[in-house]
Amino acid sequence: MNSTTEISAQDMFTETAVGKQNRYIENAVKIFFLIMTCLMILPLLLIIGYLFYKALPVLSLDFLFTNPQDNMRAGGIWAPFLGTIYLVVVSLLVAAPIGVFAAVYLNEYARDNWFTRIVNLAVVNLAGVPSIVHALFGVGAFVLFAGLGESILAASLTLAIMTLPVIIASTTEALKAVPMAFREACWNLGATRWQTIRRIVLPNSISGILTGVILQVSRAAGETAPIMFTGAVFYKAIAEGDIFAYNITDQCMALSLHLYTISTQVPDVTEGIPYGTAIVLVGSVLLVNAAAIVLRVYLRTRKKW
Amino acid sequence: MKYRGLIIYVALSILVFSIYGFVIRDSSSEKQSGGESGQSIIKNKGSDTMVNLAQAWAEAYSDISDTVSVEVSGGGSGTGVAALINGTVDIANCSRQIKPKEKDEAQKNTGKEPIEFIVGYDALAVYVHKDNPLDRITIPELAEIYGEEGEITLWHQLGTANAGCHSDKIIRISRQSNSGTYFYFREALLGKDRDFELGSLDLHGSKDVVEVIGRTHCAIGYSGMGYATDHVKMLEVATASDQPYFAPNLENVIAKTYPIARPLYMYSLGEPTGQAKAYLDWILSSEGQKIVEELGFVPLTRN
Amino acid sequence: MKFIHILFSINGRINRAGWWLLNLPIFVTIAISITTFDFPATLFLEHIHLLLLLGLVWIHIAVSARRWHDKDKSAWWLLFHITPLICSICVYAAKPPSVWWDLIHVITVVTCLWTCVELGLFKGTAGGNQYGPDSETSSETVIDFYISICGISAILFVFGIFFFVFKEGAGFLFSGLNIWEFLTSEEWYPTSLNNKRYGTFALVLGTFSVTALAMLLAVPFGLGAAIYVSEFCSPKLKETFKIVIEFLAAIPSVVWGFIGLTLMNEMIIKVFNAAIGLTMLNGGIMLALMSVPIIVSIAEDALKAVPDSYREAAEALGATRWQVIYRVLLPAAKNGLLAAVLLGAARSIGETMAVLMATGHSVNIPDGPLSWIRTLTATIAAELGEVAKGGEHYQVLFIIGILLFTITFIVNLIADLVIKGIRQS
Repeated sequence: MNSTTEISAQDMFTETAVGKQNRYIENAVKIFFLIMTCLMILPLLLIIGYLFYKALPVLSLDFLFTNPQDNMRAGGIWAPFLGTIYLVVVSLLVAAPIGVFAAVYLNEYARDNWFTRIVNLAVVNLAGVPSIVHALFGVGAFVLFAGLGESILAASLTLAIMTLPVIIASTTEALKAVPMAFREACWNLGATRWQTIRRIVLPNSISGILTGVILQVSRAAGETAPIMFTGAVFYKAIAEGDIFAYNITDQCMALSLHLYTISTQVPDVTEGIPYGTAIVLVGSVLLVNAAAIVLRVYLRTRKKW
Repeated sequence: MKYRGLIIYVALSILVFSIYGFVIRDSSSEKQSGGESGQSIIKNKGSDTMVNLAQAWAEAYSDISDTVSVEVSGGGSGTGVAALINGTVDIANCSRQIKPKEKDEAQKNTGKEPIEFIVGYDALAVYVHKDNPLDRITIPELAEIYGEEGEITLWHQLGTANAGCHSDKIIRISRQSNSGTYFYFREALLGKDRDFELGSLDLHGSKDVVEVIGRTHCAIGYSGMGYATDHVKMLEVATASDQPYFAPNLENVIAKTYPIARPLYMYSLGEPTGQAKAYLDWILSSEGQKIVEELGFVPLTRN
Repeated sequence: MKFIHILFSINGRINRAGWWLLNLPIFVTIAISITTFDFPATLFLEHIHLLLLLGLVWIHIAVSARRWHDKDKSAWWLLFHITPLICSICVYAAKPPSVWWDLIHVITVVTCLWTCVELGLFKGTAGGNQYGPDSETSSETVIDFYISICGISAILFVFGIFFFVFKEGAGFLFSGLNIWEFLTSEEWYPTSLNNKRYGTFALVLGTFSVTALAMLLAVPFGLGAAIYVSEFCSPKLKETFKIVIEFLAAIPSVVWGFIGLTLMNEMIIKVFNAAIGLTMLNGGIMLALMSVPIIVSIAEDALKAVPDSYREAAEALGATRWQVIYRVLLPAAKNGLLAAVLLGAARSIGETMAVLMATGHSVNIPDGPLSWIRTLTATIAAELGEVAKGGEHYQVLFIIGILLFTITFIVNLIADLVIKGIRQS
């Protein structure tokens, strides 16, 4: 210590004026950013609360299991609810295998060259294509060119292509999380690439893949624009309680489009019904998302490496 | 094991023959004899104006007949006619009359002539906010409000002080430019030579129009008279300022004195047969017409 | 080349699993096209279906031939099930049903089942035979093939989207549409009876102005939240915030539109004393809420990517947290943050339902946040439903689709390049 002014031990641990000021600034900054974050989150709670409050008079199990009645002014949402399930399931059946395999290709097979970069770019761009352009594509490719007509099949295929990037992204994430050492150990035992993927990589990333699949479901369930012109209809009477009521070449009702039509086109709707439809739509989407999150947390606690 | 393949072949033959004989034959003959008895679908498509009505008919009809399911979709009169031309629907809804060219095309494409049914009338009401002091309006005034380079842009030009509207500007509510309602209203106001001025709110649904007007003091708009709510007011309309004003109601529409009313059509390919005929007959019956009135449209006759 | 051999060659051998893997999708496709569509009609009327089915049948034949080879038998054994199959199709096409129809039908079913058993269940000869070494094409190669196809499918889809949207709009794009007027005129009169005008300038302006407004609202909050989550949060709180942000991202756009139409509409009328609540501001708020999750998650990734040594070095020099953020983190992560903003903007440009329901949908040059506007996406959504297929108006809507596709493609491309830029540096 060459300095002329001696600093006593006590001084070293008491706060200087500058330090104090810095601490205040730091706290102020922290609170400022916290407020910004909260302002972003607040609307979510407000909106769900508002929808729920307005929907309360109509919400019941019957609401879910009865058809729209009285020119869609009353009744429930069975037909659109089932339609949405059909669309989601069929699109999932198409998108899940393609998406998972595509991620396997990108992560396990592709070499780091220009072609792979283009594939990656294509995935990114596919995710960025506006939903209404997907709708135009669905009309051009599936409804007209492939001759599927406006049907559940055409709408689901459109949804499948639209949601493919969701599955690819989270599957890639999950595959990347499997340590390279696992694969190397397996290769050294003489296993082929596919054997390694099947026995080591996929089992170790299954939760992550499932998360992606679940997110795809939530995305597909909420979309409106792509199904408006490819397969969803204004109204279709189906038998209540019959889960096989739709045929894959028929058109169907869908929750999202139903919400749109009853809020803009049907007069004198019972006040709670649009809110009820909205809360069912939001609720099921959030529930599905919550499932994905639970799965992810579970995966993290179980992870052995 | 030299003849393994042959043995399997013979065994399979016996299996398939028996399955075929007992099961497939039975079911296929059943299908041929009872083809009409199964659930049949009537595809009904077209005008967005009529989609609520068509849906109400479909819903009511499903209570009467268990064997018929009516599939209703909107999309507009043009879509309905296009589907008729392609032969992909049984009944097309149309809020305008089919054009001769379209009729020929349908004839050429499907070999059948579209048959026309008038199933009711639709009167377009001119709506304003319920606090608006204005009660009546003429077609030329509407033309100057909506038409391209129209002269009326402020409420006081109509001779009223719209107190609720601070800016005094008329907010025009319209429909998207290819809806049947838009076409009809434009033709009723402006004929075929003039367009609407841009800058109106082109909403996507008849109900949306009325809801927005109900919240907006400055707004004027048009929509089916069945869409009226407590928050809006329907104006009486006259063809010119020296002509009598008529309110949009059943009497005036049936007497054809209300100036902005039009017939609603349904078209079938060729003379309807079977289930489609039964359905159309039911629509034209008093029971079907009751639904027309319930939905705020105008039935063919006053009961 | 390997894959062409797998699909189309009749030379060589293939094992059982490979045979199933290649044939099952073919069986399923053919079964679906026969049962769900009016079989002979679509099959023979639509040349594209016919071509597709013929391709599939050829793959089936080629693979089956190799399977016979695998059992050390000549490919001529194929005739056993191909012949009745062809006869069956011919008789089927020449209805009405007769005794012959029944007989041939049964023979076909039997032979097909028999070949399925022979080819699908029994092993080939062990070791090499006259047609090639043991399992010359194994199931593994087939799986590799499928995985590669899925991998490049993303490219196919992107091209497919462009191709089909372009195909529907191309006719009018190259003959008839005045492209200059399309881009610069504000007169959108697609259904005028005597003077149709297709000017999208007002729509483009509407799209960009509402996006700009949304970004103005979303970027400060999004970046602020990202900084808070990445720099100030305890791990547990961070996890909670991320979940909430995910929930925010999951709310469907039609629900946002509905909120805009009801709640936000009334709020704007009350707060701003506006004549009407369906305005650019309404749409902008909805879009901001929709794009904020994207901005937060990508910006947070970018901040996380800044090495901790930067922060430690700055703090060791006595910098406060604010100085660390302002002087060190933001400059270091600026590319990632830019990408976050760009992707958020791309999301806003492409959004449909919320702006259709909340912005007033009016062809109008906006003169402030309380004016009503119409966007490109909403125009397609509102007008495509009622337009006559193949007409000018229909094609113009597809051309707007091409325009939208191009805009978002470019924005995404820039964002991608920006992100790549960080990784390389």
